[in-house]
Amino acid sequence: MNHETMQPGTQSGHPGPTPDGHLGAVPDGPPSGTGRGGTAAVLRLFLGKLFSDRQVWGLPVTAFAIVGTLALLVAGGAASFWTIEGDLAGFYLILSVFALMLLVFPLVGLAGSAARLLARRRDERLSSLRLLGAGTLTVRTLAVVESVVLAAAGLLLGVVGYLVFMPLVGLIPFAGRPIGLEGMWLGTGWLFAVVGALLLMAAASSMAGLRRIEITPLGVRTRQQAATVHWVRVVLAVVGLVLAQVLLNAFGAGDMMVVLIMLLVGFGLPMLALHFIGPWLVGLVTRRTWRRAETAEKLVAARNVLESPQQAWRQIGGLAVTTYIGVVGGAGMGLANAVSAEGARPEDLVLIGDLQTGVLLTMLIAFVLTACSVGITQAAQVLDRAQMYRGLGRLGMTEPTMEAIRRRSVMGPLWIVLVFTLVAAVVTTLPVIGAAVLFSPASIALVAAALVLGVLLVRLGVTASRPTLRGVLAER
Amino acid sequence: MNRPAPLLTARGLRKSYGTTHALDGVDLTVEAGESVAIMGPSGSGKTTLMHILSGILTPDAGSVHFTGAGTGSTNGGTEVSSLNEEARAKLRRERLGFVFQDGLLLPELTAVENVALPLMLSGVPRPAAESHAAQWLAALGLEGMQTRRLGELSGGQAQRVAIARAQVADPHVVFADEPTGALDSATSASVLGALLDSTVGRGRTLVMVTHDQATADRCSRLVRVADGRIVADSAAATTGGVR
Repeated sequence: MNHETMQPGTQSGHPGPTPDGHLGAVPDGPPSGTGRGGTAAVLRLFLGKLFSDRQVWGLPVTAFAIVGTLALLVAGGAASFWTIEGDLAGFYLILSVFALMLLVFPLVGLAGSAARLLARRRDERLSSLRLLGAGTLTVRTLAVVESVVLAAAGLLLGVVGYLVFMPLVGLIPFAGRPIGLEGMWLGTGWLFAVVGALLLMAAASSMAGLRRIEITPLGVRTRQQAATVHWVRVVLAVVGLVLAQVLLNAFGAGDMMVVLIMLLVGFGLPMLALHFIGPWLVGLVTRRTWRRAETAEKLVAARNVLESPQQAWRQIGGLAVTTYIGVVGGAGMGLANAVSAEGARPEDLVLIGDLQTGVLLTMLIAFVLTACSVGITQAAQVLDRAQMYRGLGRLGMTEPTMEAIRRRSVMGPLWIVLVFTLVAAVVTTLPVIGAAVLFSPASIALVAAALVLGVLLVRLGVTASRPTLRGVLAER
Repeated sequence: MNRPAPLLTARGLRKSYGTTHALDGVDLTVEAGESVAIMGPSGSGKTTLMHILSGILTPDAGSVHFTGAGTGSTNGGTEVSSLNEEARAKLRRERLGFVFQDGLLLPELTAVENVALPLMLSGVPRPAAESHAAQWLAALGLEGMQTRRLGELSGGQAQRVAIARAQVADPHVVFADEPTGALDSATSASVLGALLDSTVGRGRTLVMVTHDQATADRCSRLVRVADGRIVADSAAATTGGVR
């Protein structure tokens, strides 16, 4: 090795230490501990601080309150179909399971956004603790307990939200009468089951994110490890499918099992496949946008999406299948309604009307879930990148420009999904949609109105996080 | 000559990130009571070297031997690079201290809670841990600021809290990564004085990564790193070769 030798006290040498007297009376040696992790004491210290800073608990608790309210309302609405009696009881049961299947991805997306909020700030804190020598047990326990406590607080508010909105949702008519309060009430057992499942998800998500910290304390700080959480979604999807079968068994619809398995395989597998292809599609189209970008907003927004097409897809991907079903089903049922208006039995007309309401409602609920997920994720991203936004502000970038970038980052992938889905719907069911345009233009208008409303809702989701951006920019 | 026993001995350290060789065969010995400044351009491997010496990272090849009382080995030393993550965490908790550029203080905790944390992680009851932490804060000129949070402290005060936290468990060696990098020159000089006094001033050892020549000049030894190798070592002048 070629080493340069430096002489102390020479120009190229090294002057040496210079004590300054910056230290007062130093205490004796430290008190002796048990030598073990001290998990309980550290846990008490951090839990005591959990609700002292609104910046820490505000967003995750709000997010889980929204998740809880929407999940319980969706579950309550679906459960109301299980109480319908008569010849068509089994048919309504299938419809409810089908609707739940369609909503499982947007719901998981929303719950995932809320769960990721729990990990915000946490990773750096736990990395710091790891650097200080915290053991695996301490880090794991702290992460899981904090997540579950915050999620539980939010879900408690979610139950209140469910009870408050139950009467409103109960006004929606199915099977010739409004669902009503009784129909919307899940029952204590199912209520606890839904809340428990969401709590489990919060804990599982918390554990999954921890793997990166446990590999090396600097893993998160230096971003050496790519986040790998996709398997969680697959597992949840499989759990959802199994849960649907268990539900059917519980309600004694064994003779319909063949139909249901066909539905699950026929729609469930393509849905899963779409969720693996989706990020690739978003990346492909956005790369074209990036190459052609002529303004700073378009360029930065495209780069934001390309940084993680998976994340962009996670936010809006759940809309793909529900929009497809909403468009095809809405048009189809509208057509059926128009064609069978004369001479049809009243109960058939009610059923066709219910199907039309059901598919449009499912599509709108998916948009509402996505809009909430977008709002939560955007607020979290603004807080995570607070320093960057303040820096851009100092460089002269205006708040409307930053807002335009954020809007494009979300709406760009949304348009990709919607255009792809609408083209797929028209190509695969051209006769149905073509006939609906001719014989039932009102149903097509209704589907279009629902889509426009959905897009506006998602845009509202982005706008909802604007006060967070303003707050960040207002700070020094 | 009767030289002090080496506290840290690194031999043949190699570390790569993908195709980038962060360390390419580094040998280094640090003796008890030294203050060692590690300098080098960005990407030279100096921070990686410090992280491997302190057991934060493990090398791809080579070894780090730590000699310190109570390290748990019968021959008075520990092979840091061969320890599992739990054992390295215990070593960091009980024998090593850290001061980073951004302090790595936890914002939701008060100053005294931050300083008490390493003791609590070692199982010291909170009242005893906080009492000892408060004494360290006072020693570093932060008396009366125990209950302040990170946002209520200046940059220099926050770094003094970080120094107190690094010292609270009375470690054998303190590792500092650009500890004054974010401070103005006057505050920087004062914080550096506190760091030196609390470590080498008390016979402990300091290993510090820095970009700043003035900061490095106040240490007893300067090691220069470039392209993952040690290219200069001021200690070589007194020993006749690189240690």
